[in-house]
Amino acid sequence: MSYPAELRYTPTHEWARSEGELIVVGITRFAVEQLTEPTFLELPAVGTTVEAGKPFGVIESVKSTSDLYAPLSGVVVERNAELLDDPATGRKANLALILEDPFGRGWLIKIRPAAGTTLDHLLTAEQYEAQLASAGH
Amino acid sequence: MSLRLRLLPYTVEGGPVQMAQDESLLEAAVQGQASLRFYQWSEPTLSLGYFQPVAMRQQLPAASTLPYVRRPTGGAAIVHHHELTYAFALPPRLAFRQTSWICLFHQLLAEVVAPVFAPGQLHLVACGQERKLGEILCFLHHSAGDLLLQDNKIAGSAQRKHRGALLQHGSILLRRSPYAPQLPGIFDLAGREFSTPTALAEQLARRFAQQLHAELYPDTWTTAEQQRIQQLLAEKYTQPAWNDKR
Repeated sequence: MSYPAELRYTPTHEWARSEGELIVVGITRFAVEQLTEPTFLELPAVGTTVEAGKPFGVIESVKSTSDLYAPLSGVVVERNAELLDDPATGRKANLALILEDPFGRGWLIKIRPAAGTTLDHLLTAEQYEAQLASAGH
Repeated sequence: MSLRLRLLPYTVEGGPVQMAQDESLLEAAVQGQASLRFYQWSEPTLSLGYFQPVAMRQQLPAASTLPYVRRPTGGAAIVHHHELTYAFALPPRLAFRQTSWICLFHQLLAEVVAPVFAPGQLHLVACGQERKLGEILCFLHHSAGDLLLQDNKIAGSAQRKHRGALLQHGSILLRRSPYAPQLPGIFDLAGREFSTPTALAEQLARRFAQQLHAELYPDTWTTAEQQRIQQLLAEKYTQPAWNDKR
């Protein structure tokens, strides 16, 4: 399996991508395959400060909850509205997007990184794939 | 046999203590410690899945007044009364060794109780055979890997994953509870109490260790773990901010 080279990765299976001044965060295809069928998702409110390596959300699939870890420190400026219920309209969250397009429409949050923060500490696609291989995946 | 699996003391405690102890187990697994324990609840208690709204309790008239605690794991609500609960936590490399720990543990339970029942009465729910007989209670959701006895779910399990480590805990229904009268337990279905919770726990512990090719050894919580359990109890599992978070 080939992972997009333009993204950077965490050992805990999140990805990060620069988008102007912001960083878009999601979970990798490997993580999605482990989840099989996401049923619930908890994301931090806009304005929440997240810390690199610390949990920022929770996802549930088939009775199993898993923490999601922030690839970098910063402030959440946007959540993927398609992944959340909208009480105003009654629209239900479409978690299938995470399965179908984990590197695209299945993104989770956008972060304004803390001053001086870069993505350099994260794994390249090549390093991430090597990690998966060494773990037998 | 290089893997060592510690067996922690059998306890009877309230829901918040049990959840704090289970979370402590997961934290130890992140550090490389594999653990197993069995317990019962000191009073009938409703546990809610991590994502379940607390208001769901009102849809369970018989159980709506019970003390409740939110689990760190997913899944649906469980009335913990006449049952045996198990919990194990495994370090990352071990956790990834098996694709379905829920199936594995339920299969071990099936093997333990199989001699009591006629052939064909026990089976694991296969993918594609899932059924939802009610919205709120875990034991009315027949999910893949669940253990059915005479078409009644007798064991329900859930998981939490943290930094690659796995916590799995689950309830084994022994007898029908007046707080969930629609759910018979293993002894009800057998027509007799053919074992005790502690004897079942001993059998399951032995089989689980064999399955893992692990050395099972009795142990107690470390001092640091005891302190952490007290912290989790005070700051999380007794707090409305956690138990009523949805």
